[in-house]
Amino acid sequence: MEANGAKPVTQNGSVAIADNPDLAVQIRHLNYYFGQGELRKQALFDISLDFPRGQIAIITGPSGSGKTTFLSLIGALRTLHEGSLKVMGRELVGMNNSQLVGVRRGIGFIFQAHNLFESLTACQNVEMAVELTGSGSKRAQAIAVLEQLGLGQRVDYKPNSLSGGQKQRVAIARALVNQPQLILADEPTAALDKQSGRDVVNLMQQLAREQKCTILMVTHDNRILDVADRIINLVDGRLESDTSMTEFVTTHDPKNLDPRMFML
Amino acid sequence: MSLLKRTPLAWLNLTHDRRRLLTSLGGVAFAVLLMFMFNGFKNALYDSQVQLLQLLNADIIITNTQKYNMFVPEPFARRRLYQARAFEGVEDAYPLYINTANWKNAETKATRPVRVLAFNPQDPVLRLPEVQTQLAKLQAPETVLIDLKSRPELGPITAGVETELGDRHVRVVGNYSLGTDFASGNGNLIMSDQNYLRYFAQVDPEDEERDLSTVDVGLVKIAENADPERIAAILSENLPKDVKVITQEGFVQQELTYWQENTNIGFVFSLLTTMAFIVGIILVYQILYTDVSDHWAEYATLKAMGYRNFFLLGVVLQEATILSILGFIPGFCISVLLYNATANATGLLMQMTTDRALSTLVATFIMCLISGAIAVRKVQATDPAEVFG
Amino acid sequence: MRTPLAWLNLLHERTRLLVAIAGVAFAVLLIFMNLGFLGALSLTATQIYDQMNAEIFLRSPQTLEISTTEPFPIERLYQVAGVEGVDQVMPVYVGYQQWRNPETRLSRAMFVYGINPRDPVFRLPELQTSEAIAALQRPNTVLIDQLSRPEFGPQTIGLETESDRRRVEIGGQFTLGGGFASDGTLIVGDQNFLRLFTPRTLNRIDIGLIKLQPGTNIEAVAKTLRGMLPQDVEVLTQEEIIGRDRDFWIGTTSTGFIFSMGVVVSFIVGTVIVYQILYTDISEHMPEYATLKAMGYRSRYLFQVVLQEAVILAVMGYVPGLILSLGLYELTTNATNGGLPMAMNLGRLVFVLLLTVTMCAVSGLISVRKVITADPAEVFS
Repeated sequence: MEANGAKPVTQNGSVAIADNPDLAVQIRHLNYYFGQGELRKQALFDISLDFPRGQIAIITGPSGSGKTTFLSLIGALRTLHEGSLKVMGRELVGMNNSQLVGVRRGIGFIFQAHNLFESLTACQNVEMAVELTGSGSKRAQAIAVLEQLGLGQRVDYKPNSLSGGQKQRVAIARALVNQPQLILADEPTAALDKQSGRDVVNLMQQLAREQKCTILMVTHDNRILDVADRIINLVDGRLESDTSMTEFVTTHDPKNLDPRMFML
Repeated sequence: MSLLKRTPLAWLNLTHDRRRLLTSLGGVAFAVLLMFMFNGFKNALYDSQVQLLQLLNADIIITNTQKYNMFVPEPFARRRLYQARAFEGVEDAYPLYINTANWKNAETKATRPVRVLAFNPQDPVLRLPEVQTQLAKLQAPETVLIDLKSRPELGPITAGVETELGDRHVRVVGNYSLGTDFASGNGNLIMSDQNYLRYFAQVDPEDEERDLSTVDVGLVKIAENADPERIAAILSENLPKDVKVITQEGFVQQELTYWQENTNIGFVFSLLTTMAFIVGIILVYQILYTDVSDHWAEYATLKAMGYRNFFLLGVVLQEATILSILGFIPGFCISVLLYNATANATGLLMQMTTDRALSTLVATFIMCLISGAIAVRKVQATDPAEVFG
Repeated sequence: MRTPLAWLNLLHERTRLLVAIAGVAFAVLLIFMNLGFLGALSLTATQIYDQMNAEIFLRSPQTLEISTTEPFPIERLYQVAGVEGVDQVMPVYVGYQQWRNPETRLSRAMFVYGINPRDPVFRLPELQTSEAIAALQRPNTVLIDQLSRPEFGPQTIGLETESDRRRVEIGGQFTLGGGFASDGTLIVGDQNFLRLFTPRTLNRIDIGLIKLQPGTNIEAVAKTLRGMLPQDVEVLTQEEIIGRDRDFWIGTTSTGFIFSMGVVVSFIVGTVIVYQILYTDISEHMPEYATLKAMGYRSRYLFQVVLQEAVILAVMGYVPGLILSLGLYELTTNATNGGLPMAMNLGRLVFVLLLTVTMCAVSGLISVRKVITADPAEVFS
């Protein structure tokens, strides 16, 4: 799918785009800056992208390329001023902090470090998410998700007594329990061994299919690229490439020549 | 979702690391202890001054107009008491004689001044049951009851001890428990008015001679249901101006006011209590700050998930409240023990009243809230975007 | 040079370091204040002796302190006059009088010194003037202490009022301060003292002042006097008499106990604060400490690091604590109008510094156990 349906930038810097209910995230001419005045440094340059529902996209790029910033913008973690960024149909550009918090409640976050409270059991950590929005029995919901993730026997364990892979699965359960339509994951497998990492991404892939949720994942882990429908490469804050999985394999296989070479 | 059904994050965070919790509670408890001790000393110094006054079995007190505190040795004419008895509503009026004499330590032979309280054994002057039951013993010549809480410098004071009081033979016939104050010097003796004459009617030419015609403190009992304020006002108006008539409550307050205005006790101990309060703030802040630092990533994750600052503020303030209550309990218990130890070691009147315990609890609570409010700024400043990378 | 690990560890978390320093500083401040109050009370109780112009004092063994004196025969003072090294002997009479405030007509107990007008009993220059001496010699005339409490009323020279129903006139002023025993002070000539305190006589005195010739060995003279005088008087050097009065007041008012207890509890609180800081620091750096052990550092080294942190905390907390204390000393002295003369002295500086270092070292010793038991194998888990 190509992402070139851009419309002209209006005078106040925001961009008007038509809503498309099939798209989880729509981005047009997004610019982002750190700092102010003399120290102002542009981190993202004119990014335009669409992510349809149910897609798993991996965002790669060298460190400092802006991929984490990109993820945090989609996650409604920073206020935005230029371009357009719609998450589940809601425009984030121009939102204040309080409105952003509302958007975040519909997003599942998974971090490299699991960030679980050591003082809470696996179940309680997941319940913290249910308490934000949920109703009904929060424990039942938490246990259901943990069971889905193969942690049925571990619901009342504290993080200290869980393995790295188990902790990450608790964190994933916490991200999933409210059945978000968008999941943002930052290096979810970096702290895990090969098998645990594989288990975790397989789970995520399965969930994306079953619940038709969109997953955006920043990773350096080449072992898990195969789960992605699409791979986006950022370099120095600019969109370097946006390829489907099959394309990516072809272009990055040294046995094949880069098709672009023939275009010249 | 109701508050009760929420995961008790504050409680679980605090209790997760047992060792740290114990240290934290230790810190709060010691801050509480400091406040209790300094406040306790202040109250003890004040309370001690009026403990005898509070035991006087009277509704109204008559003294010499010049006697603005118990140190002032100005007596008044006993006939004022007879005059007082004539007023309606007055049931009885009886005299208390107070003087100072040198007590000879039976062992070391060193002398120390003691305060002598003398009255007619028929008059119920003191609300001390121990004294009431032993009054008959005082009928014998040269006998006294002596306070068990007298200073140790007085030497042996048990019943049967014979020594000298003002160079005259004296025999201890019993004990009671009262305590010393600044005016009583080393202790209080109780004797009959007849014995009082023996010791003070003929003294050195340099000392003032005393008999029973002048009284130090006059005790007035009024009829049941009568209003002490009103009768005191009537007596005050109708008796000659050489005496002052006040309710017993007013008499106690007058003594307290004197010590409050004429000593730095209040200043010294209020300053120390304030400093203990600040130390408590620092201690609790340190505990909460460490908790927030340690769980920074988790708090940031909660914010990323959509929890508002208000929620995190609530967690920190809850932790502060839990600390204040859990720390107060051991602090209070140790304080009670130390109060007793201090009372035994010094004879100071260390009293733990409900009021004082409650006000310290409130102070502890405020102390923890202030710390919580400072510590929470760090959570509020937490940028959820930073959890990425 | 070795990497200053202790220093760098502490410095790493600025906020925590600041809180730690504040904690130590306040513990130091509390200790200083308790000692300061105790010192000020002792000084208040005894500063009168610094104003008395004598090296040796005579008083009855039954005298407890300056306001509860037992008179003794003036002959004892005459006996001393001929002893070698003695320059001058001066009798002092003391007593309480009810002084009537001429404005409110309320009476209050005034402490009265009776002296021979020609004797330089006090080191106050205002008492050595010919006007002051003349005033002391005039009948029914008193000198009044400007530091007497305001309840005594106006102190204008020439003002007439009553002292124990006897008419007196204020003939002059001086600045002395009352101490524990009195709210207000008068000085009168011995003849006036006799009038005010009938039926007392000048033959029995309360305190005997003995001024020695310059360069005389005080201890030697005191020893001689003790040998020659009967048991009805005590011979005390200035240091001894100050010690006696101080011990009396500190004991009677329980202030010694109270402020010592304050120091002890402050010390424990300081220990708890420092322990918390060190324990948190160690907990957070456990992997690093375990790594150091795996690298071959001995427990001894880690032990030293923690103790160094403790000592650094002690010193860094001591300095602001001391500065704050000096400020509060000043403030207290002013707030109480000199009623509590708080003064710092070298002994106290050193004592509190030692106490602070001990406090931090004790905390260090308790918290270090965690490092010593660190299992170097833990780094691989």
